[in-house]
Amino acid sequence: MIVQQIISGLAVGCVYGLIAIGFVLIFKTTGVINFAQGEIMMLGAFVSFTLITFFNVPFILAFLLTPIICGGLGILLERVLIRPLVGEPVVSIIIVTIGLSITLRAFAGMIWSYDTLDFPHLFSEEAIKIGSIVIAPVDISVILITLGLVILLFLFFKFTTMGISLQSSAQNPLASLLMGISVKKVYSMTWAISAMVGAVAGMIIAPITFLSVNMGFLGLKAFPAAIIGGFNSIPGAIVGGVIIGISENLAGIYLPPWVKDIFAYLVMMAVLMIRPEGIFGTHEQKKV
Amino acid sequence: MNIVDFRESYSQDFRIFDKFYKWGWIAFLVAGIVVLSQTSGDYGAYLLNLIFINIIAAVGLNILTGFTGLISLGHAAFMAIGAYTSSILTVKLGVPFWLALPASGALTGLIGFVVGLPSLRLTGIYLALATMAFGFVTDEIILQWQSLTRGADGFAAIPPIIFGMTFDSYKKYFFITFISLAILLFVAKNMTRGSFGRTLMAIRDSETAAETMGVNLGWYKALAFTVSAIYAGLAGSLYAHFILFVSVDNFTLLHSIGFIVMVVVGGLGSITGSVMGAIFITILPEIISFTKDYLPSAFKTASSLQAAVYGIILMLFVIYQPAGFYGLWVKIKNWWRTFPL
Repeated sequence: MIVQQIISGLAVGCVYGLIAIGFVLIFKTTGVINFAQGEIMMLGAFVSFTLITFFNVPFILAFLLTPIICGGLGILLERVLIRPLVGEPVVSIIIVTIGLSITLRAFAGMIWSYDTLDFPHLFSEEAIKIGSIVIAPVDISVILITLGLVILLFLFFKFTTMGISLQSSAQNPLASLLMGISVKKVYSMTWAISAMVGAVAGMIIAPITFLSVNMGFLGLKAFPAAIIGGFNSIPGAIVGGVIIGISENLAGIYLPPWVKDIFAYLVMMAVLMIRPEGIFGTHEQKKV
Repeated sequence: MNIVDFRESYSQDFRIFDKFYKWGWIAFLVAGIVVLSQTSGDYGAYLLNLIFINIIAAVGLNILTGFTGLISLGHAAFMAIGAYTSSILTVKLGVPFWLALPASGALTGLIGFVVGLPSLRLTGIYLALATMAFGFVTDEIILQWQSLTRGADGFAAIPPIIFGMTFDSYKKYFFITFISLAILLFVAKNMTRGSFGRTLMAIRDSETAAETMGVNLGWYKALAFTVSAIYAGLAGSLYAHFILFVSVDNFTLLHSIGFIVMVVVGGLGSITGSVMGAIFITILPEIISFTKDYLPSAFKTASSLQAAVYGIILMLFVIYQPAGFYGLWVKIKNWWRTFPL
């Protein structure tokens, strides 16, 4: 029972972690949090759903096409909404992303209706039994895809020129500009990557939970994940997500059932009181 | 005479209205609103009440976000606490309304003070997320504390009775919200034009500079939260006795965001702006349903049209008109004054 809960918590936690990576990437390079990340995840799920059921695209191809479409959307959003606001107070940019999330949800509602839809299953729904433990193949696929994506991101940031220039402009935009890095390009790349990661998160969570316009609210649960891991650490986001996913499931067993829904936020409040920079985050000294 | 009216002395800056004749406009406006509320039918009175309550909440949030620079995504939760306190006091304990209203403000203010304490350590996004979490946790506590709040069923409030008069219709209730609004606007204006408001603005513009000038950051930030929460609590209490039914569905994250929209659209750091923003956002659904007939049929039936317009307006305002309606107003005024130039 406990092992099962831990594994399903791990799978959900991976998805929280993926959404949190989207927050962290944008926060690291641009100092902004994107409240629309959950909605981008929802769009990812719906785009792949439309590709598969409406255009009859094979599953694997849809899985590759969706991140590309969402990445393009990310570039567009950055260009239209965020670029004009560079240098404005963070509060204004947060408010723009809140407006974006409301708008995206409304348009998605117009296009795909507010009904809860069934996402086609890629894996058999028959559970795998190991001894007395029952594991759903979907959970395993989620964990493996997340692992693969994190390795891919790690390689990207470590070994490609683009990745390294992303890192450098996160640390010091002015110095990177002087070194010949186009910070504008870096900003749109950041949005593209975080939208891609969000799209993948949407595609892998839809089979576990549900496919609905309101699934973007799941993105709110990724805030605790990012806070716990540290808002400027990519591995921290995954670790935070997994901690939230597992502890939430365990809270569902050992504590009164209603605690499960707000457990993530309680943990987040506690972390903010004790150590606001999270587990892996670094404290930034503000210059006067 | 100056072409553009610069303020040349502190006494000019401290004045409630820069020109004396504006008091006349206010008297005219008050008379107009009272006549409008009593002649415009039940729905008109309903809208006016709703506008006034939203103005109170928006002004409170503006003191926090516009004047102090602290963002709160949990303001609907303060309103929920005020609404529940007031309705529980009047229904379960039989406390009269004129006592329950300030009591709900006081309790919300106390909670606001406690919520505001961590704001010394948490800034920007961290504070936004902490207040968001506060909102979720408050809603859940209200839902689960069924013996007191009746949980998900919601709580039926009673119309207020003052001096034996029952304010049971929207037209009668108008006087309660209108007088509360007038008092609260006056208090807000006085608070923000005096030393308290200037301290808050100093904190907003540079925390380090304010601290160097001897401002106790933690104390003033917590006070800003307290004042803001009191306004939200009073708005919540007025809302409860107006709608006569409270449930957590009326105080979600989306409602908190709605108040932020009012403040931003009206203009951060301006009481007049918050009034404009609250009026605009409250009657926006009416404007949309009025213009619906002229729209292409694809949009006409969409239930989410209102949300889409909401979101788009929010984005457009921040990008193209960051100073909000108030900034636009000032711009037009100055353009008019310097017209031939």
